[in-house]
Amino acid sequence: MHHEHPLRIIRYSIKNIWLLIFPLLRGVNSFLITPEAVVEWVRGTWFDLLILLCILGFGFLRWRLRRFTVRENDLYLEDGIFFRSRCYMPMERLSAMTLETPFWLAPFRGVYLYVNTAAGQSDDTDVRLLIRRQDAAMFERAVPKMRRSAQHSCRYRVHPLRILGFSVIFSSSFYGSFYLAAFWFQGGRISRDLIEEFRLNERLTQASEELAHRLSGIPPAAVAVGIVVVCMWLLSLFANLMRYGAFYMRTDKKLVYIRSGLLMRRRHFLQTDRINYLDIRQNLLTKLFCLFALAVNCPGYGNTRGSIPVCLPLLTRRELEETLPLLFPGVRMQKNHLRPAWTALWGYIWLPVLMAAAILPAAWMARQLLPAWEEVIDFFRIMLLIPICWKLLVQILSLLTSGASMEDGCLCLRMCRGLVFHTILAGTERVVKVRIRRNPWHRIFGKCHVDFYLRSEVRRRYALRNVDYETACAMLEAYL
Amino acid sequence: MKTYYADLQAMQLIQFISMLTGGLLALAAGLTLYRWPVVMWCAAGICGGAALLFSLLFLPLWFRQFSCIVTSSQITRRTGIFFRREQSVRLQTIQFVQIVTGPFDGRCGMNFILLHVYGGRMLLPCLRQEDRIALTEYLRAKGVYHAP
Repeated sequence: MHHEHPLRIIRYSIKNIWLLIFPLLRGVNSFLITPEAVVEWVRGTWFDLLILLCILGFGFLRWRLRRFTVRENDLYLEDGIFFRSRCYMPMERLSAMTLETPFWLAPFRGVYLYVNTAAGQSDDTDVRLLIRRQDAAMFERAVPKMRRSAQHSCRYRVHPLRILGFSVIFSSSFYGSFYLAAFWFQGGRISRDLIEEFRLNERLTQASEELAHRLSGIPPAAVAVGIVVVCMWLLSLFANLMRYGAFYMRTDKKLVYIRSGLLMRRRHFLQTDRINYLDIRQNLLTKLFCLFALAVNCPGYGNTRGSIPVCLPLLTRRELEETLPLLFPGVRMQKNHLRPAWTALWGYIWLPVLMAAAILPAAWMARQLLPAWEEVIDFFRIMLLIPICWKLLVQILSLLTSGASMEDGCLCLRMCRGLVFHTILAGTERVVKVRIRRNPWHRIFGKCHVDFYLRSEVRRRYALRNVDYETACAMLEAYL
Repeated sequence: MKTYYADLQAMQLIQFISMLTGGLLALAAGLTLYRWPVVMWCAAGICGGAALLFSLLFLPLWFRQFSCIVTSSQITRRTGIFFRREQSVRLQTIQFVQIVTGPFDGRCGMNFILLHVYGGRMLLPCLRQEDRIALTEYLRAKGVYHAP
């Protein structure tokens, strides 16, 4: 039996230890280092020291009683002090195993281990351990027990420029804001102190005023918001580069091995038959340039917020057509048999059109209420129209490309969610539920929405909108 | 087919703990709120009353209603007092098993089996020690998990 890395003791103690560290350190600071001063200090803080020892002792006890081993057929984990928990996880049930080595753990020779199965209702990790590097080797030796074939068939080392392109294309200010919010809320006082120390507020005001002066006509407040948005996008870009840099993939039809990450090295082992479906993703830019990102839905892979469960980052159409049969022979892309007609255009574009139309009266009302902010309001009116027009283009393209087909036990589904185009490839046995929705307009015109639910850890709806009802029923009856 | 029930010793233990907790909370209310007699008596009454209701009414009803039926292909759990709930999982959908035992190797009914299945979990609580051993042996024999 093995124990976790000793650093884990700190993790088990750290939750409450900060309550005592600062008062104790303040006491140390204020005394001269003489034997009498030390005795005096201990006399004053003996109770705090006792509590501190109890917290550390509890952390040590918890670390000591948490043990694991990899046996012939399963992973065994023991945990708990008063209530002992024993977890038996058969190797053939594992869907994904990840070994993660952050740069700051390298001097301590520690590795994070995440093990997942298809169990559970959410995408939380089933087993999470901080282990020593030699214990990580034990898990890697157990990996062959997860698969039945030892034949290696494909290896892909992705060029750094492709990783850069992928990170640029799929970075988002939205996800950058998550990192910023995490820093702000978890950093707390530290983040506020850093902002004060580096005078970030003043520097931002200065930069925005200078830029506003050069770009005459744009208010400084709007420039400041623009700078913040660009910074959040850069943060997301940096995070993606760190996450997907040095990408390498190898598969032997039973196991997919993915290695990626610069500052935080990750190695993923995915069981191929636990992969629920393939998700080929594009956004508007990559759609226009016929570039594809191949992702997989596998329990335990890509669970982190903002991460894409990518299998191959950026492929041309030819590369995708050559690679897909080698990686996943059971699925293939098909032409759409069920697709929306051009008369369904309004059903796709009504929301961005109404939003764009609502901005004009909203801006007028804002100008009436806040006349002093007229310039800012005009600027934001134009800036809000840009993402709405982008979404409108995406929806029009979605109308032209969406559709579904089911042939020879394969489902090929093309749809759009948000600003991302998805092509879902799966065996029909992975389809858990299909729902047909009709409103009164649909009944009149013989249309419907079709919602597909596929086997997955987290429930996701893939909706095909405004398709012909008779065609949809005929297609689904044949295969479900 | 075999049916397992919750251990009444576990019920007695939980009753004791809840009465003790209710009593301590009522005492704490008395010690801290003595300046406001009305508030003190209300707080003490709520703590004590909740503990009594939970121990003498809720727990016996729940323990009486709980059962776990094991067949060759599935496990069915029946719970609920006013709203009866029946939950079934097939053995082949169980991904892994977690066994939790209280002090003294699960005497006093502190034996819990947590089945992690596709789409959720099923908890079998407060089993007898013998029942826990029998059920885990059965699951092992069925190949749901491996143990030395």
